[in-house]
Amino acid sequence: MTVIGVESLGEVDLGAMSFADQAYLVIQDKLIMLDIRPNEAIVESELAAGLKLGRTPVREALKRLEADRLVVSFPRRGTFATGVDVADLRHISAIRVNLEPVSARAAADNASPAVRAHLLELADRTDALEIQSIDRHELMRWDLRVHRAIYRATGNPHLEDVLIRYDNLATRIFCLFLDRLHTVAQHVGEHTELLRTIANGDGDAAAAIALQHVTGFEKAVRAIV
Amino acid sequence: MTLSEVSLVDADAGAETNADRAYETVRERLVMLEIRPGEPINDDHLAAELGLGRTPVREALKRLERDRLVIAYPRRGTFATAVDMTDLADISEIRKQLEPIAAARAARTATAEARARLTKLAEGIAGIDDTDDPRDVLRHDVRVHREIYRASGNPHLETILVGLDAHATRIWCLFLDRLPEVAGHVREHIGLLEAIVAGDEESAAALTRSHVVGFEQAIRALL
Repeated sequence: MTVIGVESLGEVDLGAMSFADQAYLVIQDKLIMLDIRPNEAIVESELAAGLKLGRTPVREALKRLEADRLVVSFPRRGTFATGVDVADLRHISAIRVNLEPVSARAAADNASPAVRAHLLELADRTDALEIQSIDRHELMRWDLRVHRAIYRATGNPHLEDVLIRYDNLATRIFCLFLDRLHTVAQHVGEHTELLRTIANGDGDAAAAIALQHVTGFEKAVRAIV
Repeated sequence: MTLSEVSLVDADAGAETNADRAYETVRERLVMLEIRPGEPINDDHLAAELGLGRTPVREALKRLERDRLVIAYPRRGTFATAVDMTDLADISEIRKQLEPIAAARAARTATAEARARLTKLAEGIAGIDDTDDPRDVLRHDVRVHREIYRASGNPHLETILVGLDAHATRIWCLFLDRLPEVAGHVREHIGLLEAIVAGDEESAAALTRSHVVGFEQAIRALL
């Protein structure tokens, strides 16, 4: 199984992680890819049994996901995947529109030569993707992976934290409208240019591409909401 | 002015579970450096001292770890994170973008109740004296920032900025003895609060930007 985020952790594999970390990544993936739909009730014991994990790590993972705003829990009513509404999309976009260009610029300015080489490799692999035939969810996971590589390249761990959280929320919204969005292939293709521009160290151009990428996403979603 | 008026804990009236209470209390100690950077944190002692069970204290420490305020090492225990000066640049990079947006949005969209709260805060700040305990002054600062974030009406923005402000406040606290103008810095917020209440987006954004930049420069000047 592919799980978002594992590859971005580099050499760390699922087996070497704590049960709580494993539960966190697997449940996060289910929420973003809509295996668990917005507003769906989450039953801790069922989830634990399904993942073959104990209830304690699952509970800890759900607490983390609550801080990420992917789940919400109400006293005496239980835990649910958070809902998605238009106001939320606007709030999330307000943050990404401002921070994604900053991260692209920071990555272009700060990345080490090894990181630049890695970004170029990701660009080549994005070019090689058979975008029309690839499974949409795998494509979204690739999208997340590319973004995370850029966030990591900023060298700003606080920025990385925030952007990962908001990329997750934005991608969940993207998945919600995936069947009705005709720009997915183009959206993923745009990354190639962004990655190469960052690797070349052109901060201004990278910021401009990132801005266009985020606003393009919001426009595409808004057009069909 | 009484301490309870400016406590960080009562800013979050929604706090209800024991884990929430433990989180808010320990967070304030970490932010105000009552727990020093690098200091070990013993969850048993903390639980006994707060009159809470170990489970809520552990849960609180997990949350604080995600906030980067504590760090846990296997078999060695949990410690307050160091206050690292590279954090100053990293945090400022984000705050420069988001703080002005929050202030402008508050000016544009705040409810009448929120504007009334901000007016009251401005009056409270005007009463700050240069001889007041600088830690209490900083608590005011935290309170003002939180109310502005809340008034922005964007809950995501609020969460991010509350988290970053904790780190900025820790840096302030570290240099508190060497920064003589804390009271003056906090009184700068009067103009900002007034701009928000008056619905003046542009001034609110500009004042906020210069506040964030000014903070970074004041600290850099000491390094």
